Amino acid sequence: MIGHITYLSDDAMGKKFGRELKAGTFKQGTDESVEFQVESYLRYQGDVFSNKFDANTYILMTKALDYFDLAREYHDDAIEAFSTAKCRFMVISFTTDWRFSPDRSREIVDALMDANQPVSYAEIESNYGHDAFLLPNERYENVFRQHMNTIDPGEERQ
Amino acid sequence: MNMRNDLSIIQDWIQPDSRALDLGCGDGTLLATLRDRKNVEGYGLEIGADQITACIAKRVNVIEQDLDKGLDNFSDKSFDTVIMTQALQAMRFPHLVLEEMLRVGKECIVTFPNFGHWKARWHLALNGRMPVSDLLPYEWYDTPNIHFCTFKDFEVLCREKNINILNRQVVADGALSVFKDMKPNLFGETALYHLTRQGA
Repeated sequence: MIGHITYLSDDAMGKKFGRELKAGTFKQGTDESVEFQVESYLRYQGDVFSNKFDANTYILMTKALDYFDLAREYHDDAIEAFSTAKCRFMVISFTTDWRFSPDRSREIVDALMDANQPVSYAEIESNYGHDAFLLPNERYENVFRQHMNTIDPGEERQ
Repeated sequence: MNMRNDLSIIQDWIQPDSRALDLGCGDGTLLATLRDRKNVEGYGLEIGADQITACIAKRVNVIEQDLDKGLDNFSDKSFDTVIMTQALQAMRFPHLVLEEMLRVGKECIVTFPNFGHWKARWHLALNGRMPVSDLLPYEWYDTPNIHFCTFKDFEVLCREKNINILNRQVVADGALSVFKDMKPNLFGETALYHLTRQGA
């Protein structure tokens, strides 16, 4: 459930659920238990998730993500790590994404520029948090389309 | 490619095979031309969404970054030339941006519209209102240009800040433009400065 929240943004959650109740009331003198809409939604998502995924697979995937370190084999220096790259880079971030925040993307971009690698960077305004990369967004689609148009499949950088 | 007048002049001030940073790079025309004609590598910084897309379409490296927040992410003398065309007057703190440019670049090129041009003076003197023209088409309350200066103003700033002027040039259109080199502050529409801190 915590994982699920990180894919969304404050605004998206607020708009979708706010403080709406699924059951119960805040009136004094009643002992019916209170349940928020957002609680019910997250519990449902949790149930679906635990049936879809093998928990051990998920632990393994999470660890694999944790263990990935771009710079470990390059003296902990991201610039050195990027310096042997042979491709052009296009970095895109979304303003409300707190899983891969714009700050982290800018760190990547700065290291690429210090390594003298070709890179472009766009920071897309969106209210949908990490999920934004899966949702329609005119600017995001334009940037992505224009970049893909410049790629020559047979191209190799000197 | 149809180049703005100022852009074609400053090309001559940039060494082949060098590394350039273009602040407020617009649609990337200058960087694309420098890449194709002089094998200059580099990056453009820009905040306009459509401009950024235009750069990407030209295969110009463009980074979305607000210049008013500084150039902290670039180290000292990491570029041969730092360029800023027609954007200085839109900065919140032009003098600080200039300092940052001279820190990051070995040399700098700055171009800006001359507010001392006779048309601007004429407009203010006769109409008593802020100049609005084809060159500066904005009303005072709704304009990106918040810090206008004249050639003389800029040279005073350079003197105060110990900035060396390597080259200066003015461009102008129209019948009176023949006088631009004699009386640049009156007849020059756009100022072009090639600057450095080294040896100052």
